[in-house]
Parts: sequence; C-alpha cells; structure tokens
Amino acid sequence: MTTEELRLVEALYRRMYDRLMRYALETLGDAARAEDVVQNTFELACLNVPALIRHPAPEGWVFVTFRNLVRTSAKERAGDIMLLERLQSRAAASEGERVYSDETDPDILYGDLSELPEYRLLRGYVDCGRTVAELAETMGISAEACKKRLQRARNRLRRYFKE
Amino acid sequence: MKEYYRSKSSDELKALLRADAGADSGRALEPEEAWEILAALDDKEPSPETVYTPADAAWERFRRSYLEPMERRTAAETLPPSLRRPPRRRPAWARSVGGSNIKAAAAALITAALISAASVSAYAAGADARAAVPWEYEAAEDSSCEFEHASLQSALYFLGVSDLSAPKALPEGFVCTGARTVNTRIRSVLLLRCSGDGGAEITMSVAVSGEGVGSAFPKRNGALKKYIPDGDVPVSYLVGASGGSSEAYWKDGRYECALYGECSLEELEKMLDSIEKTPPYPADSGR
Repeated sequence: MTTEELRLVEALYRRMYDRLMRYALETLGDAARAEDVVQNTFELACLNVPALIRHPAPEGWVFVTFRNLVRTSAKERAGDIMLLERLQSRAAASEGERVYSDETDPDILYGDLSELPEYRLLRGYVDCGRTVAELAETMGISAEACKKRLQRARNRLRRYFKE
Repeated sequence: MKEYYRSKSSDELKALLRADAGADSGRALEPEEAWEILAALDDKEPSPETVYTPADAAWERFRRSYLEPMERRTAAETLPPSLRRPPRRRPAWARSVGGSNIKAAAAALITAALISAASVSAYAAGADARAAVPWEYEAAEDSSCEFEHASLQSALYFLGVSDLSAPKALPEGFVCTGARTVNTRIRSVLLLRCSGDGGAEITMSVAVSGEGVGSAFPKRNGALKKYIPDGDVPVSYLVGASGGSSEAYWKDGRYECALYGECSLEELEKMLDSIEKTPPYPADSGR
C-alpha cells in the first residue's frame, strides 16, 4: 500500500470510527466485538484499496462492508456462545452436576473439556471481552493468525459435537 | 429525511439501527440513511466513548496488529513465484517421529552458521547500514536499508556477501538503491533493488539453497529458455520475458538467485554477461 493510499484509509478511519463503533455497539452490545468489526472492515478496505479509491462514495463502500461484517459477527457470536454453553454443560455434567438430563455419552459426561486449548481460546474471546488484537498481542501472534486459530477452534469443537 | 430522524427519540433511532443490522439486504437502509440516523443519535446522546477505545488508540492498534503484518505478507508476495514459500511437504519419516523435520532444522542451523561466518569477513565501512539488513537463514524480522551503488556486485560486497558473483552492469539510468530481507516461513531472501530514471525497478533476489528448503527454480520450463553467456562462465541461466518485464534464474554454488523487473530481455542478458567468473573476491574491494 502506498503512502497516499494509507493516508486515505487513515482519514476514513478517523472520520468514521466513532459512528461505526456506535452502530456496532447498539447492534452487537459488546465493545470488544464492535472494535473487531471496525478493524476487520478497515482491514478489508486496505486489501481492496484500489477499488475503494475508484469508488464514487468510499464512505458508502466502507459502511456497506461494515454492516455485512456486523451481521456475520452477530451470527458468529451467537454460535460461539452456544458452543461454549454446550461445553460448559458437559463439563458440569462430568462433575456430577448434570445440566442436560438426556446426555448419555460417557465420553462427553466425563471428558475434561474445559482443559481443551480451543475451549480456553474461545472462552477468552467470548467471555472475557477481549478483542482479537488484544488476544493476538497476548499470544505474540498477528491478528490474522489469531482469527485463524479462533476459526480452527470453532471447527474443532463443532466436529467434537458431531462425533 | 434528516428532520424526520431528528424528530425521533433515541430509543426509536437505536431500534432502527438494530433492525437494519438484522434485516436482509433487500430491506436494509441506504448508507446515507444510516449515517443520518447516527448523526441524529449523536445530537441526542453523546457517543459513549468511555465504553470503547478512543479513535487514536484504535488506529494505533490497527496499524500494529493488522497493517504491519499485512505489509509483511504483501512484501513476501512480491517475491518471484519461484522464491515464495513452497507448499509444505513433510516426508513420511518425519511424520512418524512426531512431526519435527529434523533434516530441515539441521540444514537451517548449518546454513545460518555459514552465513554468519561470511558476514564476519565483511569490511567495516558502512557497518550501520549493513547491520540494518542482517541476512540470516531465518531472521526474526524483515529489515531494509537504503544506499546507492553503481552495481549489484558492489551492493553485495557492501552487505557482506563476498562469495557470490552478481551483475556489474545495470541498464542505463539504473542504480542499486536499497536492500531488504523478506522472511518466508522456511527461508530468508535478500532483495537488492535497482531503480531507473522513469521509476522502473529491477530486483535481484538471493536465497540459500539447502536440504529441506526446496528449489528456487521455477517449474514452468516451457516459458523460460536456457541462456549461456559467452566466455568461460560455469553458470547457465533460465531467462524469459513477458509484457514489459524480464526474469532470470540461476544457481551459483549454494546461492539461488533471481533477477527480474522492468527491462528488456536484451538488457537482462547484458546484465547476466557482466557477471564475472566464480568468486572468491576480496571482501573489501569492488565498491
């Protein structure tokens, strides 16, 4: 990205940040997720900067992209919460406090799921109100790598439930 | 429309935003409308800045966590295809011993030691700029420096690489203006940049070949031809041109080199002709 392109993105970022955060806060109800969505929006803007520059209304382009990401994030968050609840209920069941009375699989009932690294990563993301960038800094990796790890964690936990 | 939204209460405006976020694309608000709702909401209630990161800090975090890694990835993508990270291939024996590729790790260590030894013999002048491009087998960070040299060979000397021949001639109007290292997952590549009068660029990349590293030579033999310079030069080149750019690949001892950029095939071949017979060269001459 050239210096000019970077300046354009930074100007858009600073001009739109507060209102995008407000929209995301109202619709997602979580400051960390809201910030993630805004950062992801501008990451996409950087990746598509030639299209953004040519676009007759760059702010409109950013907003439509942002809104699509808000919708995706809302669905993703609902899915994450459901996954964690299922895991917690299994962990609780393994300690003799069965939450779902119809659970019969012994591996599930006695599996030490809360020790899974995927669980800890996803829980740090969902429950502790931390952004991807903060998690990435803690782990010493890039935000992109952190997003991939989260996605792998989701996939692995989903597979776990399917098996 | 602006007045309409201003006449609504904060709760009604927030409900509109939530409906917009949950709506399918056919019923979504136009961006201008959503913007007006947010503006009207700002007038009624100041933005709750205390609950989120302020814009300046968020931009800094964006730069650090998103932009800088993105630029590193983009830099790696500017390498010629043959020098990018090859697909990960792990032999069966490595899988069977727990996944660590011992051969590749050993090759990496030996190569790093060899390169460190070569760097020690470099001459002392300009040590600061040279230190800005510490070319090791697997450096921790990408680095770069600016300089001006009349030939790629003198730039290589300057950087402490004294056991590799490089072109002494450049096309008219070109000078060697800088160097940087790009670290792919398995190898470190040294890039020397030559800039021309009209903004054209020619790049020479140097990587160390080694077991477990994969070859830098491109696999598309049909698009490249073999070029053997006149004289007693024990190196042959694979060269090709398309559009306004040309490329050449060759192997010289343990180095795998590529030369590519905006020049004609004739100019590229002249550069290749100017590569002298195999070194060693004196470490502190030729500048």
